[in-house]
Amino acid sequence: MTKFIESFATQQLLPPWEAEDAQTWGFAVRMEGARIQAYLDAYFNGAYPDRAPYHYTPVPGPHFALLSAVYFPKLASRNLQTASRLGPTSHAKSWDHLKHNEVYLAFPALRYDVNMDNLLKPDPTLVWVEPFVFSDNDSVVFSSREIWGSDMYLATIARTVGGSARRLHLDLGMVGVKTFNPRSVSELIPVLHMQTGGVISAEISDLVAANPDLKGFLEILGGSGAFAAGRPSGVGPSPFKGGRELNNLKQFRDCYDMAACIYRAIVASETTHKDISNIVVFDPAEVEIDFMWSDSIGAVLTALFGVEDWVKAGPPKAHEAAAKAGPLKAPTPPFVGPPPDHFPQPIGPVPGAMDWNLNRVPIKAEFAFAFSSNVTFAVTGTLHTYGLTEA
Amino acid sequence: MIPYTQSVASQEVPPPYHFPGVTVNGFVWEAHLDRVQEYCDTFLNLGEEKDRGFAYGPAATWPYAVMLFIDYPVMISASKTPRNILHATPYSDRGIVTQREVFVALPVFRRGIGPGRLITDSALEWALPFIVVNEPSSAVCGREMLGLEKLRALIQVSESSFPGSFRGQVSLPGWQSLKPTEMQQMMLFCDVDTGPLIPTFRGSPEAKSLWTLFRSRVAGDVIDGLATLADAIETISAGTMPTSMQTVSLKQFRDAAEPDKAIYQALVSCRSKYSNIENFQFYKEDDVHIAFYEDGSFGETLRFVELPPGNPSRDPGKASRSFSPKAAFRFNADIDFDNMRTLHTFVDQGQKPPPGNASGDLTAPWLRPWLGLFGPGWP
Repeated sequence: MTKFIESFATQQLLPPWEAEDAQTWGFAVRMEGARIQAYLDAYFNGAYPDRAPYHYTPVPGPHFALLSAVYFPKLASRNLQTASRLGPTSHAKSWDHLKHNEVYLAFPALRYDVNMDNLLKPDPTLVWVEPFVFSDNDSVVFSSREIWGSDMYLATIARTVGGSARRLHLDLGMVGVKTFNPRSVSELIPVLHMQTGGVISAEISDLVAANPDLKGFLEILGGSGAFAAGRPSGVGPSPFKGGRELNNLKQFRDCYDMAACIYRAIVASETTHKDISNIVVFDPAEVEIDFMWSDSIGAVLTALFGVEDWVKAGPPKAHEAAAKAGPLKAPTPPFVGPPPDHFPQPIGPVPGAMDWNLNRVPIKAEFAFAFSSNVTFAVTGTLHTYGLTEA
Repeated sequence: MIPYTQSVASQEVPPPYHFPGVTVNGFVWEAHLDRVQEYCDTFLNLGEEKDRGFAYGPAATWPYAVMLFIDYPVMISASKTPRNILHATPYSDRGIVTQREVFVALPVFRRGIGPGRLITDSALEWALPFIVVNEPSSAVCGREMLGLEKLRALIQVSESSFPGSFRGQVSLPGWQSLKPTEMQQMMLFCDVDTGPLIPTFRGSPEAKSLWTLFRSRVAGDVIDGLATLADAIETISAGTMPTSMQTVSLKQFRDAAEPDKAIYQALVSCRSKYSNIENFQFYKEDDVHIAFYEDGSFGETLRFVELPPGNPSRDPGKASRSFSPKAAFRFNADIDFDNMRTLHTFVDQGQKPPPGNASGDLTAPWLRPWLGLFGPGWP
C-alpha cells in the first residue's frame, strides 16, 4: 500500500472512534429469508471474478432485521496515527468531535468459511449486514463509505424532542424524486417516519411467550451484547459464535467503466456498547414505522421487504397537515439594501421541510426498545480483497 | 473486470452529465507558482519521476487561479442504463437535479519525461485544490468516481446591493480551533460580494483592467464565437484552451484498518466542456470583494492557493484574507462533463498492482484521435 496523502477534504472521522451517551432506539421487523439470501448473494457470495473464501446465509428460522435510530451527541476519533494533524506537540487521546443522527437497517447472517474443495466448514460466525444506513453528518458519511465501506447516505434527520421519557419521533428525508420522469425535479422527500407509543413493563419472557418467533432473534441480540444485565429469563444463549461483527462490501467504481470496480473488498468492523442504561421496552403495537413510497426509494423497499407499491394512501397522521400545506420554503435573501453579513439561515432539519404528499408502506414492529450507552467502533480488518487471486 | 454492485438505495448517478443553462460567476487572481509546484509535488508527482514517466508543474503561461461559482439549474445524466441493478429506469429518465458548485482551479502542465513522451504525454490540465457542492449525491459521485476532493457545503447566492451584482457565500462543517475537544460546527469559509456589471455608474475600470480587452465589439464577437469554435479550438490548441477544462485529481482511498495508508491511488482526469457561451460580462474588479475565513481546520484549505495581499476595504477584522481579484466576470453556458479516464495508477514499489483496472492513459489530447485510428485499443 502507498501512503495516503492528507488534505482538507480528507479530514474524516478516522476509526477507531468512540461515542459518549449515545441514545439508541431499536425495532425488530420481519424480513423474508429469500430477500436476505438474494442480498447476500449479490453482495458477498458471487464471483467478482474470484470468490471470497466465505459464504453468507440467513440465520435459520423466522427472519428479523433491526431498524435502529441512534443519536450520537458526542463522538470522537481515537486514531493515534493521524493525531499529527493537531500539531507535533499534541497529546490528544481523541479529537474531531462531532455529533450526528444515524438510522440503519441491519440483519444477522451466518458467515461460513469455505475450504479448498469449495465446501462449507461447520461452525459459522454470526455477523451483521447493513443494507442501508443514513446519517445527517457529511464527515461521517464520507468516512463510513470511503474507509469501512458502509452503504451510507446523507439524509435530513428530524428528531422531534419532547413527550414522555425515551419517546422517539423521527423523520428521515433525502433528496430524491417522487416519480421518475424526465421532467421531475429533485426535492427533499421523506423516506421514513418512526414514532414510539407507550412503554410496557412486561418481562421479556412474556413477550417471547406472546410472539415465539422472536425467541431466536432475541438470543442473537443477547449474543451481540444488547442486554445490560445479562440474558433475561426466557432468552437462551445465542446458538452462534460471534455476533458483534459488521461485514461491509467496500467498493469503488472505475472512472472509465462505471460498471467496474477499481477496488472491491469485504471489511469487518465491530461496534461495542458499554455502560448500557435507561433500558425501555415499548409497546410494539403502538410503534409507527412508515416508509414513504417514491420511485427514488421504492427499489429498496422492493428488494428488502418485497413490496411492489405503496400500501396505505397518504402520509402518517402526524404529517397530514404538513402534506396539505406543502414543504416549507427556504427564506430568500433580501434584494434591496446593503448586503447582510450572512444569508438567512436555511430551514434546517424539520419535518415540515419535506414534501409529505406521498403514500406509504407501514412496517410492523415486533419488538421495540431504547437504551443509552457508550459506544466504541473499530475496524477489525479486511477479510477479502477481490482481484488478488485467480478466478 | 471486477463488477461494481449497484446498491438499490443508491441515489448516485454516474457521469457523463449535461448541464444546460448554467450561470457562472468567475474570479481570477494571480497564483504563486511555488505554491502550485508544491501542490503538484504533494498530490500529483507521487513516487519517483523515472517510474511514473511524467512531471506536473505550474503552467507558467497562465499563472492565475480561477474561482468559479456555478449554478446548475438542470443536471441531466447522459449515462447508460444502469447495469447490475434490480430496477433499470435509465438515469436520464429519472428526473433532473439542481445544484450549486464552487471551486478554485489552478492550471498545471504535465510534461512527459523523455523526448517521445514529451510530445505524446504532455498536456495542460486543471487541478482543483478546493471544490464544494451543495448536493449530497454529487459530492459522493465526485469523490468516489472521479477522485475530486468534493465536500458538501451550504452555498448561498443572490444578487447583492445593486441590480446585476452578485453575492455568494460558502459555509461548510469544520472545527473552529485545533483543540482536541473542539466540536464540529457549520462555519463560514468564503464570502464574495460584487458591484454591478460593467458598464456601471460606479466609474470606469482602470486602463489596465482585463475588461478593457473585451469592451470592443470585435472582442465580444470572439467570445460569442467561442462556443461554436470550441471543438476546433480544442484540437488546434492541443487542449490548452480553457473552454474545455480537462481536470486532474488524485483519486485515493484509505485502508480500513490502517487509514494512513492508501489501498488505491491514481490520477484521474475528466473534461468540463463549455459551449453556447453567452452574456459574457465583466464586473469592475475594484467593486469585487472576496473574503476567506481560514479559522481552525480551514487553515489547510487554501494552503496551495496563494491569495493576493489583503484589501482592507471590506471586513478585515473578521476575514483572514480579503482582497479584490484581477478580473471578475459572469456568463451563461451549457456544460458537458465527460471524458473520464485514469491517467496513471500509483503502485508501491515491489507491490502487486491494485486489483481491477490498474490502468494508465496519459495520451495528450491532440494525439488521441490519431491513436484511436492507428494505435491499439484503449486500456
